[in-house]
Amino acid sequence: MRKLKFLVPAMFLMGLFTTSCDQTSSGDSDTFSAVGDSISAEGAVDVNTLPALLDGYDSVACKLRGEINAVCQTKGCWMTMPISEDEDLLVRFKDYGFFVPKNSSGHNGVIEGIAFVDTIDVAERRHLAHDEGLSEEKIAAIDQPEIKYTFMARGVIIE
Amino acid sequence: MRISKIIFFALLLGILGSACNKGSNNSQPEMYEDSELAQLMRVMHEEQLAIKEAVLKGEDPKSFPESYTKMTTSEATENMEIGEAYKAYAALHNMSMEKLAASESADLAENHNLVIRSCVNCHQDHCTGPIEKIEKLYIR
Repeated sequence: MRKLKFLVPAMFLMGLFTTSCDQTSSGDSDTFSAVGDSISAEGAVDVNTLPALLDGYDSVACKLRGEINAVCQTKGCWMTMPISEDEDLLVRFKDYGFFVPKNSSGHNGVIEGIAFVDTIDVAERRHLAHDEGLSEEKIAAIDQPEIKYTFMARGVIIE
Repeated sequence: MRISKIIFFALLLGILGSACNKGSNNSQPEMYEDSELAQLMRVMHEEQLAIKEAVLKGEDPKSFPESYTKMTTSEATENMEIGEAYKAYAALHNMSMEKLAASESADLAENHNLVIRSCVNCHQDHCTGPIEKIEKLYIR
């Protein structure tokens, strides 16, 4: 009986904490940030399907989901998402009209807009490297243009 | 006995609190806030867009902006370099703006495009992000 007396308040406390935890993880808490046009995550396909989506086309309108692995540390005016082990998608934002949080790296993102392949010249690559916060040595080592999957997003959800 | 109860509940609270924190993301989005120079650039874009629209309608612009004269005195975004190259680009831009303001009607489109070219040239060296937006200001 004495043990039961001990257990009742313990169970009450556990119930109280479980409820408060559930409240913080429900609702909009899955969205870290939403910027640009209002979009939904419904129908987004994995970013690694982009090469197949673009095959035979100059550009394609699509909605993609993937991990964010780098963000412009000056303004949040671009971000990248890995397509494969050695290739990233460069995401920019329509009309320079909105930016993403600078601490979005590591989050998942859903992007809707136009994907295409672009040539990033040396000056632009160095500029992006500077924005990313890379060392002067790494920036100076960039000496070739890069053909890159690029995305002009009209809306972004960061989860 | 009473002390052991207190210790038990304190431990329980700690464990549950820790588990709760692990399940939620406590970090807040770190959003960029426009610097004084970034705000000025947005104003300059709107002013140049108004000039473009007036010229396309065949009208002489009612006035020419002077906001551009603050290009070298406005505070820039952190990490953005305001060096001698930027000042040289700003001087070229100011010259092209003065030329635009003194234009005959027939030369307005060409001189407006010179102003836009000066913006693009500077951005290619300093901040490439808005170039696509700026290029939409050209009168084709």
